[in-house]
Amino acid sequence: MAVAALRWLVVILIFPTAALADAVNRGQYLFTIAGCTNCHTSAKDAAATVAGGDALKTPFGTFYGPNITPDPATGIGTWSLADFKRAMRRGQRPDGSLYFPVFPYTSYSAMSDQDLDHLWRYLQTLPAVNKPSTAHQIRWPFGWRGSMRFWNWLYLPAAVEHPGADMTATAVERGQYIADHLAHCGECHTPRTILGGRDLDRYWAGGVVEGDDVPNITADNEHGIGEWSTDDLTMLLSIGMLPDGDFVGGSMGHVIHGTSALTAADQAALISYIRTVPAKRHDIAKRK
Amino acid sequence: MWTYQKAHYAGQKAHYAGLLLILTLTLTALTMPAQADGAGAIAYRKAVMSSVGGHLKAIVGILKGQGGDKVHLLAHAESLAALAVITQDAFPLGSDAAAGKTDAAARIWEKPQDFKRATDAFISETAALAAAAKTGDLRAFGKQLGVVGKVGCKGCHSAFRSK
Repeated sequence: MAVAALRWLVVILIFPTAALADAVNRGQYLFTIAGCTNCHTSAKDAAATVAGGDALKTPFGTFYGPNITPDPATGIGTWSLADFKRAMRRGQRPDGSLYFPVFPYTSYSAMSDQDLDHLWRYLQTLPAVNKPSTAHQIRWPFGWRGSMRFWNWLYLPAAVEHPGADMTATAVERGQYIADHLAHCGECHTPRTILGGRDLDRYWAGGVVEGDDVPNITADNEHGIGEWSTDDLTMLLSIGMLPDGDFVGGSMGHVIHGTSALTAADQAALISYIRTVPAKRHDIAKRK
Repeated sequence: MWTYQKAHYAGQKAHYAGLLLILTLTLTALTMPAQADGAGAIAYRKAVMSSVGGHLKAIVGILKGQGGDKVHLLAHAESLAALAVITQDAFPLGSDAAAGKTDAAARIWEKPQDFKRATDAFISETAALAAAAKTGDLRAFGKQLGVVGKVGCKGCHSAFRSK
C-alpha cells in the first residue's frame, strides 16, 4: 500500500514536470522555426531575447517588433493564454484593438491549439525585461488601427487548424504547415497587392522587402528554383549554402538559423512541400 | 641669332610643357585612385569570395559523390583556410556601398571588432576543416563542413551582408 502510494507520488511529481518540459522544448522548437527573434530581438549587442526588435521599413511606415517577454509592464506578462491565441490567430490585442499585418498573424491563424499552447509555455520561460517597445512610425493614412478591420476582412483567413500541425500528417501537409504557418515563407516571398495583402495568385513568385528583391522560389526554371535538386534545398535549409557555393545572408541568413533547427523528418517534409509549389514566371530577382 | 634664340626658347617651353605634363599625370595618378581603389577592392573581394564558394561547391560535390576525388578534399580545405585569412584584408575602408555595387553591410566598418570576431571564426573553423581533412575521417570532415557553413559563412553573411 505504501509502495503504491509512493508510486503515485512519483507519478504526480515527475510526470507533470516531464510533460511540461516537453511542451516547453516543443515550444522552443516552434519559436526557433517561426523565427520570432528576427523581428522581436534587436541585432544590437547583448540585446535581450524578444525584448523588442529593430526597424522594419515597409511602404506603410516603419515598424518595430514589440517586447514580448513576460514583463507585466512593458511585455506580455499580464496576458492569458486566450489573449495570446487571439493575438496570434486574429491579430487582436487583449483590449480588442488590432495589430498591423506586419505581424504575420495571417500566417499564424492556422496554427494548432496545441502548438500555440507550447509556444506560450516557452515564452513564459524567457526572462522578463522591462523595456518599453518603440512606437511605430506609420505613414498617413495607414496609422488608423480601425482600418485593419476591413483589411482583415479582405486578407485574414478563418482560424482553421491546418492538418499539418499533426506530426502524423502526410509529408506534403506537414511541409505546408511549416512553410505557411510556422516559418511564414510567403510573408516575404509572395508579392503584395497595393493594399499590402499577399497576392496569392503569385504565391512565392518573389517580392520586395525593405527595397531589396526577395527571390522567386517557385518551380520556375528560369526565375525560380526549378533547377535546384533536393540536395540543393537540403544544403540551403540546413546550412544556408546556395547551389553556386555562396551563402545567403541578411534576413534569409536569420531564417536559415530557424530552418537549420528542423528535425530531419520536418526538413524532408518542408522540401517535399516546396517541390509541389507550381512554377510562376515572375522575374523579380535573379540573385547576382 | 634671332632664329636660334627663338628655337632655343621653343625648346625650353617644350621642356617645361613636358615637365608640367608629367607633374599633372603624377598628381592625377596620386589623387584618382582614391576612387578607383574602392571599386578595385570590391572587385578583388568578389573574386576572393567566388573562390571560397568554388572550393565549397567542389567539396560538397565530392562528398555527395557527384564528381571529383576524395584525395583532393585536403587541397580544397587548405585553400579555404588560406582564403579565410585573406578575407580579413578584403574589406578595406572605402570599399563600401559608396564605392561601388556591393552587398557588404555598413556594420563591417561600424563594428570592426565584431567583424574581426566573425572573420576569426571563419579562419579557425576552416583551419579545423583542413585538420579534419588530414585525418581522413570523412564523418568528422562532413560535420566540420557544416560548422564552417553555419558559423563561418552564414553567420558572417547574416550579420554583415545585406542579403
